[in-house]
Amino acid sequence: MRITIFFVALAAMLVDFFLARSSSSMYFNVGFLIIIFLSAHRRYNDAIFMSITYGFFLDFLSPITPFGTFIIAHFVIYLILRYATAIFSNVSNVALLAVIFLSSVSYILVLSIFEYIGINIFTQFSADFVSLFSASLAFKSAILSCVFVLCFIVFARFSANMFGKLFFIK
Amino acid sequence: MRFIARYKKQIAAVFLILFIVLYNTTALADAFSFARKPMLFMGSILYTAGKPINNFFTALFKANSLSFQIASQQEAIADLNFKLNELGAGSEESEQSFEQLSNLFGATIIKTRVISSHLSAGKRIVILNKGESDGIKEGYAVITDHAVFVGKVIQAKKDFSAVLVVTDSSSAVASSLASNNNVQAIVRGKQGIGLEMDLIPQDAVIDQEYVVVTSLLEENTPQGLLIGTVASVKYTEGELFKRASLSPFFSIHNLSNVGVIIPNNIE
Repeated sequence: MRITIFFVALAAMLVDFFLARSSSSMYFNVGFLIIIFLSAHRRYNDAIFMSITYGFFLDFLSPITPFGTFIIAHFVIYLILRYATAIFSNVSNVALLAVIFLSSVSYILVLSIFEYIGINIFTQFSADFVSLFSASLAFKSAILSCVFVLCFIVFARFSANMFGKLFFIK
Repeated sequence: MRFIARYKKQIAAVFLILFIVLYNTTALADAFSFARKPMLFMGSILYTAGKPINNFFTALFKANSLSFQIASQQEAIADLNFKLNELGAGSEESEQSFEQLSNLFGATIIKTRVISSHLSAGKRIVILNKGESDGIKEGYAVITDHAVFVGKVIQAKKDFSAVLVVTDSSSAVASSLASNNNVQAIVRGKQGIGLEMDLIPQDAVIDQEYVVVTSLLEENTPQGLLIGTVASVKYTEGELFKRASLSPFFSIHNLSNVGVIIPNNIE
């Protein structure tokens, strides 16, 4: 199972780092959504492994931030999610979308804080927080995450119904 | 064994912290560099595939302003073509290759490919598929095959390097007017998409469509690399300097093959 998580983290990093981040209009954080998914299903060991591996891959390729920034940031995000998902475990689908929206914005905020600290303390570069955290970018990304999750829920229900009808499973 | 089983998570955390410290302080990063090449290769495929997706989102959010921009650029292209015809220069002559540029500037140019461009740590950067092992170092200038200044290398790793694009807000380049080398100023990036020329002397003659190039004062950068054209000039009476908005000669999303200039006086 861990080897699956390893490759999922690698694929998520490649999509987030190369495909989604090439856009100047918004980010898309597949890795973060997978960590949410694993935490929501109480697979905490897989979630922590995913967050550290995903952070490791981002650190491995990120040219400016010092190595370790994303590992520690994702570990902190995992800790927050672990306790947050316990609170939001029995919410409706609409509330779930609101949770995902807020989580996505918080994720980009936490990541920006860690990048700000990492760059200003451990590298020769300097970064101001305003250039690191763009509220409009975070909101757009959060909306995209919600749309993605909504599509996923609709697709999962549709597939479950189809599967049930095809194989006569109630 | 019982101790390890009991404190498994704590031991893993200690090892992880130790690994991070060793990675940053020793040559451990080089030992892992072999894994970067396949990742960068896969990433460059995804980046190329992601361009149409990016174009879709750009069209979705910026369609209106883009249509105006395209119209004004088409006018500018038509005007430039007209001027080229007047000068008698053919299109073949205008397409200078890196070899020709290398001879022109008296410097070695390493041809590289852009494998990603994104906002990293708040900076608009592009990632190139060559790094320190190919002779690229921090501070070297990056150009297109049409002698357009793209930016400077800010981080050179063993197999790849990161370039701070000239349009990034933290970028500042010594520049001059192509028509008059005596007019020296600073070109700064504007929100990752535009350029602003600052500290232009009050007595300098500058107007729309003047071409701005790199200055001799810019370190590791040949004089005369194209930066942008003047779009508008701001002048307030009583101020010591003028300011000008520039239109850059390149779009970050259209960058594919670029060259890194290795100065010949640097070993």
